[in-house]
Amino acid sequence: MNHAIFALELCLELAPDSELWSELRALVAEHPAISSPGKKWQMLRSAVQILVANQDAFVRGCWDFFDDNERALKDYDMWCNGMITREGARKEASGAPRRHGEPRFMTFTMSFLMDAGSQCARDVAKLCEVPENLLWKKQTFVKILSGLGVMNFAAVKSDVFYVIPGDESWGLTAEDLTDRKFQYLRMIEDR
Amino acid sequence: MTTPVPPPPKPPGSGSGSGQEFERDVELNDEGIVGARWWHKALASQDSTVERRHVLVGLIAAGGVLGAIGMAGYGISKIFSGPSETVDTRRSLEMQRQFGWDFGARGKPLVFNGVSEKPFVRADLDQLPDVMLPAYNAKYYVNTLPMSLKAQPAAALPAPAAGTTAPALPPFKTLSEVILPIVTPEMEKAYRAGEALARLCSGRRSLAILADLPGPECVAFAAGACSVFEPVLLFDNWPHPVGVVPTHQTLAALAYYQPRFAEQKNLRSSARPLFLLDRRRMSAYSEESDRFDNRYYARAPRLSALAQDEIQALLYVVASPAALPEPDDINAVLAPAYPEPQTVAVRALALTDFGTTAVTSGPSPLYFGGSAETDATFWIAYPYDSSFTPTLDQSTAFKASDASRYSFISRSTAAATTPESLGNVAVMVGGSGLVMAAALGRRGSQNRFSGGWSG
Repeated sequence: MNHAIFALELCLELAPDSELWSELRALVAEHPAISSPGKKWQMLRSAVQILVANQDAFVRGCWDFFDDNERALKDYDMWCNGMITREGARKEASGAPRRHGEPRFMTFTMSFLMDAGSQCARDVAKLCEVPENLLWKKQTFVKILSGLGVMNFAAVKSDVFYVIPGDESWGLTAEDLTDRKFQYLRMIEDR
Repeated sequence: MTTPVPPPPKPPGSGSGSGQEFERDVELNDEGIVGARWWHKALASQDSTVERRHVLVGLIAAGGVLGAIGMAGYGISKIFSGPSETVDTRRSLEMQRQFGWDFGARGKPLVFNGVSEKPFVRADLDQLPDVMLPAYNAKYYVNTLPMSLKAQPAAALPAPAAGTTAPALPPFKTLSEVILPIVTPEMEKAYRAGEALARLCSGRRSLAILADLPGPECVAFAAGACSVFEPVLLFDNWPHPVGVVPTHQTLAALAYYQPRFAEQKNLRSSARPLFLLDRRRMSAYSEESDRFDNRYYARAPRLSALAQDEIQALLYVVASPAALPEPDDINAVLAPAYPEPQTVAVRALALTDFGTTAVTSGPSPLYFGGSAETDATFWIAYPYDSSFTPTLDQSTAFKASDASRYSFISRSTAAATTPESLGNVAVMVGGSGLVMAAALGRRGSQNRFSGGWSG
């Protein structure tokens, strides 16, 4: 099988009274160990609904689609390792935004390793045809998210979802985001 | 603004029990991150042609991120494991985080010397990470060791291939379930030396301490000094049943002094840091197959950073003058090859310079030089108190050990020791490049591994 990859990561501001973080966290943490394509699709749909409903909180982000086999495998490993090595996670609590009055941020990441020869991969490729001047626009992220209903999990070989932080008081700080390891997350343009 | 999501098409392939299932192989759920990965069993098993080179590409990508050798796709080894297995190397701490602190030695007990007979509430260990989190110096804090207490494996080693038998292993236990508090005579002496130094330094705000002592004594020293100094852990490894560094003893000492640390954290108003390092972190170690290399390279703060915190002097505390010169990792910090603009004076201090001449039946306070008379001469050997004027008697009362006159000089050989040269473990790697088992205890046969299986 040749592989294709789609990945999307968003950095969102954690508002003290928002359920954004807790909903996304629960979505990932509570998804069963043994799942089905249908359940996975519902999971993705729920994630999309939560994210799109909170698009005002989008701060930074990135998304990728590659249908080159080696690139897809390499990038999928990279996204998985971002989770496994806890690369982006803090080593200690930063305090809840409410308590400290400073902004806190979360990231939500999802990546899908697909059969490059499937209709699903072709549909996602089409979804990701975006003019260069629109790559980092919020409307582009929303468009792509909203179009992910084309994801067919019968053609998805593996997927990974993760949320940083795992505890609300471990949110990322503005200073954290200036670290080199987050450079791949570009500022999302409102217009 | 909310953009409506298009109505969902019927999810394809929603049947179950037909190989269409997704199976989770990695799950993380802690304060820092929540995440999981799933594999589509049918597609994964179809694709038995995954080649090792693909996985290796992934490893290189991961290594570029963290300097750690990645563990790309180890979970899918359930599906892709091939007949050819080789021994490879991975970062020890990453393997422990993924497969458990006792990676490759499940069920092998930790050995504790000096188990305390004081009442011990095991559930209190849950609070240890919070107790040790500094209120003032969190930016320097390394939480690796306290966070090991409750850590669960994020993934299981793959099931044995068909035709092989997995050994019966006991269930995983967290460190918080097996740690016992310890206190030894050496720890008690270090505690009293800490008390003595705290007494001397009380009110002198520009001093910091870097204690580089064997783990349990280091913890005890910090416990003695924590009324004045804020302990800042720099322990950057996890215990292991056959670890080169007996870090479980350090954790056990933290457990013993946890009530003291908790109490003083609430009382202390000083921000002066006392950094803790285990001197055994770089213990000599040859390629012994029955040892687990949990050594590490210290992540100590740079002097320029301390200077920004208005620290003017740093005392580098060692067990005795024989513990000098300092290890390579500390040499790079205290005597950088390219000196940084900083104003922190660094002096070594040996615990053997603290003692007592008193003859008592029980523990008595320690003094610099052994008596109350010599105690104040500390500020002669370490002239960081401008308000101290020695009397004639004091100036001749005690001659501190050679440690007080030790000079920190940059060693060109120190650069040969790198973080990557420490803390690596041999693992069995399957034909797909995925970790199958720890390769501890191998004895000429690559098929016999703790935590693995034999065919």
